Amino acid sequence: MIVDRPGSHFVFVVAFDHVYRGYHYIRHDGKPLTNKEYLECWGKWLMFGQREELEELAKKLDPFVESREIPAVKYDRKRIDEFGLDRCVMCVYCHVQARESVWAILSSLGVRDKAWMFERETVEKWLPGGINLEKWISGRSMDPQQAERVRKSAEEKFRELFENENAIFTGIVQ
Amino acid sequence: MEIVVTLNLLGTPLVDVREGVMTLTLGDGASIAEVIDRVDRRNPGFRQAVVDEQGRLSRQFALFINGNNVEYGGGMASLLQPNDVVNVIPAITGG
Repeated sequence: MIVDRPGSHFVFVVAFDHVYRGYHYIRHDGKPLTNKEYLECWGKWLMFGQREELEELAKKLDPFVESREIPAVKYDRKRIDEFGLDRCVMCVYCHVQARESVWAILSSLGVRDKAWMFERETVEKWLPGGINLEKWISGRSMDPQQAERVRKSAEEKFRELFENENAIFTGIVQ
Repeated sequence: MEIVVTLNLLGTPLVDVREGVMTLTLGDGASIAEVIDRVDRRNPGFRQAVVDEQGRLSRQFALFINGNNVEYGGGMASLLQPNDVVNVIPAITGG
């Protein structure tokens, strides 16, 4: 089902059971992933388009999410001004061992550009010095003290999140 | 051999994108470094945008061969095979 909460920058496509029955979609071979497994194995195919184009694609992907062939999808509600890009981004998530079967679905729906990114790469980009965090900070014209607070907060957030590598990964609030 | 290169630079101002999709004919054993040079000839500023001062791949862009990020493979020395598909995107995407 498509979950469109106006308070979030992202629109999500997740299984009905995830929203209403506590189903944890970050899993492989029937088991939820630990923090370590998440960083090693979880990732996404990236797609780009205007919001309307991604909305259309999301509707086509929804049945595959409900059937659990695709774990989850998210896309930008609007372009991120701080990043200066002219299109929205869609992420189609899965375990690395499932990525070719997920790609086959995307390809059947007309997706051509093939770019796979592990979640660990994204986490690195949001840590101090990472390209996303630094671009976001400069895009908001923060003064040095504000910027340092944001960097420290990001570092602490990710350290706490992944501190216990054997704990089940619980997700990042977005 | 022939490969296809697609630039999905999403409006980043560093490159004057004149040809977003290209079919390139390369010799056997061609690397991603050669692909970058060939793309640069058709799209001014490309090489400067994707390669840093030390001659490594820039952190600003990500290059993929058949979906795999070359930064985590062979980097600039990554070799191409016939019919490979190369995609280039701003590294900032996918957060």
